[in-house]
Amino acid sequence: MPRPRRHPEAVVRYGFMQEERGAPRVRRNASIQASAICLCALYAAVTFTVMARATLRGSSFEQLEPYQTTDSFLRVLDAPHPGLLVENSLRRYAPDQRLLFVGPAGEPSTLRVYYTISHLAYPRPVAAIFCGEPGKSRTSAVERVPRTAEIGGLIFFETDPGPWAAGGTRVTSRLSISPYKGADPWESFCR
Amino acid sequence: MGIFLSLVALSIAFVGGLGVVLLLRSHESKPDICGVCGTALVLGAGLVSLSSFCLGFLIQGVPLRCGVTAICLGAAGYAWKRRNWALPAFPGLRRFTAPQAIVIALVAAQMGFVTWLALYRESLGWDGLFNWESKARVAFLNGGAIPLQYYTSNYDFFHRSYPPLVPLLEAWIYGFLGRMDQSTIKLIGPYFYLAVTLLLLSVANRTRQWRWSGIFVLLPFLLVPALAMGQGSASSGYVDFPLSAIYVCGVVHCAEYWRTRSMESARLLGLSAALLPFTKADGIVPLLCLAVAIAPLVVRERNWKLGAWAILPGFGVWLGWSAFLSSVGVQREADFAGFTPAIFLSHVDRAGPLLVWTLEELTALRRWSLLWPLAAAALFYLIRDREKWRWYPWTATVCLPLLLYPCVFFFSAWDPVEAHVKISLPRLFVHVASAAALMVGVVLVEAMTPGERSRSAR
Repeated sequence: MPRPRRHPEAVVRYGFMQEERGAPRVRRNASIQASAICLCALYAAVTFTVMARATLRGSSFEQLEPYQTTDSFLRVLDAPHPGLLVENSLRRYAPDQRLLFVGPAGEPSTLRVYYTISHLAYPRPVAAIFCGEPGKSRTSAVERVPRTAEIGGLIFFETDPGPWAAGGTRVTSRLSISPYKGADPWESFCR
Repeated sequence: MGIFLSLVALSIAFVGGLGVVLLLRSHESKPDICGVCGTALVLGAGLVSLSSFCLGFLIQGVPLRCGVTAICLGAAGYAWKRRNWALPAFPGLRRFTAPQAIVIALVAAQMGFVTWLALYRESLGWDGLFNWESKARVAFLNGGAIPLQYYTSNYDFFHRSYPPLVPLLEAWIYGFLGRMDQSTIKLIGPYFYLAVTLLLLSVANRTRQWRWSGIFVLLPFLLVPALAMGQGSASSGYVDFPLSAIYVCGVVHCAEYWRTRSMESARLLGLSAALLPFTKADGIVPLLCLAVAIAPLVVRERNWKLGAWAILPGFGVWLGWSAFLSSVGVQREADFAGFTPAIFLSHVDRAGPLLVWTLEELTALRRWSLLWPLAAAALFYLIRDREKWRWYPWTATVCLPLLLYPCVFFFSAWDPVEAHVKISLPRLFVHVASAAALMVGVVLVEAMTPGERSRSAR
């Protein structure tokens, strides 16, 4: 059913809004509408400014990568596709083998690299020893496996593997993984 | 190909959700395509995760994937059969107007932007990888299900007690891909963003006959920076935005129940609320707020059936999840010292700093733009309205969480507590932001159409 048309003079236009002339509180309603539109415009202006600044500031991924986040967390390893590289290197260890991560306590990225490698190593449990430097940082450990348990492999980050380098894999210039069998004190791997 | 297969996985979840929604809707109710699809997206994600979790203890791998697919398609097929194989008619779609075209363009542009941010701009982030994707990884490597051993072993994982709705949805996508892919699972954020958009549009369609209402209801949501980018947003790998989407689904059906008193809304509210504690441990707060929002109707009208439908499923899932964690011996996280009066009294001196940090957060323009000042103005508008009780559900669902979330830090075990607040509070407010944006939108439309006020207020 067609809607009855109002007399043109009985209508006051406000942008795309319209009000009946002579209706109570018309002026007040018009001011509320004007305020609402102004608020929307201000809201949009603030948001566009904030989002444009944030969008222009950061960098983008060039393509979709299965290891997008782990690669960005392991960027310090200075190698292409470090996530896949680490995962492939860990494949030689059986799922029930325990691993020990050895890294410097004073290096800011150590904790992030440890957690990321631990994530990629699942289902192998990875414990950690963060080696301190006298007067600079303290040695600490993440005991995801008991200290007395037998370790099946050592992961050295920013640490010289020394005698344990034999038979191991140099994943990148900053990371190497070596097979090992024993339960020596974890601190003994700090060099 | 990865994107296509991910979309297939999410589409099956949507079809399952559609089946659930159509089964719970009455035959007489007016069809609303936005509301039906928005709710279906939310409930579909829940259906996939809950069925993966439950079936996962019995079957894994291809049988599990087939079983969950059968549940999703079976629900939709049964719902369709109950309607005598008739497709629901959506009369609103026949007329295509200029405001509708603008809304579609706005939504398409924003969805494109959020999807681009999710895929090419933002990584999963710290929590997204270690708290959530790691569970998806465990599930994928164990045939799509999180094994019981994951909870019972002493292997020290990140936050084992966190509920698995989003990780199991991620594992569901991995199952279709046949491999793990940290970029394509980011589509889950835009999936929930679309759900919120459709739910907001459904509110616009229901409350007003004004043809521009869709734009004004949607605008406050689309303009919140923290919902599109940054930690906890739809483009991050965090579960805060999915929780926000589930909460807004509950709020929409709660508001609909207040307006129409239809049991259909109560049922959909109950199912949405049930997913909250299965998404994140913090989900108990929005669940409580929804219970508070609906409580006066249960008590005043002695409508116990409403209480059973709207409140019990949520608390049932929360109790079930807590009982499960206790039975497998998983301890709750050590972030909180315990929710006891003694702990509260010992930390009562945090009240002043918490108030300051909360106000600082609510006025942080780079995260929220003008959302919270506008929400305060909208609430003031509703309270001074002469219609009794109309302000109440909005106060319970928007203001109460804003009050409860900062209060949680009275029980924080972090020292200093400021670090805990600064890390967590912005993300906790993401849970409420979509509902707050909806409230602002509804009030904006009312302010713009005063002549229709009395009609929509009922």
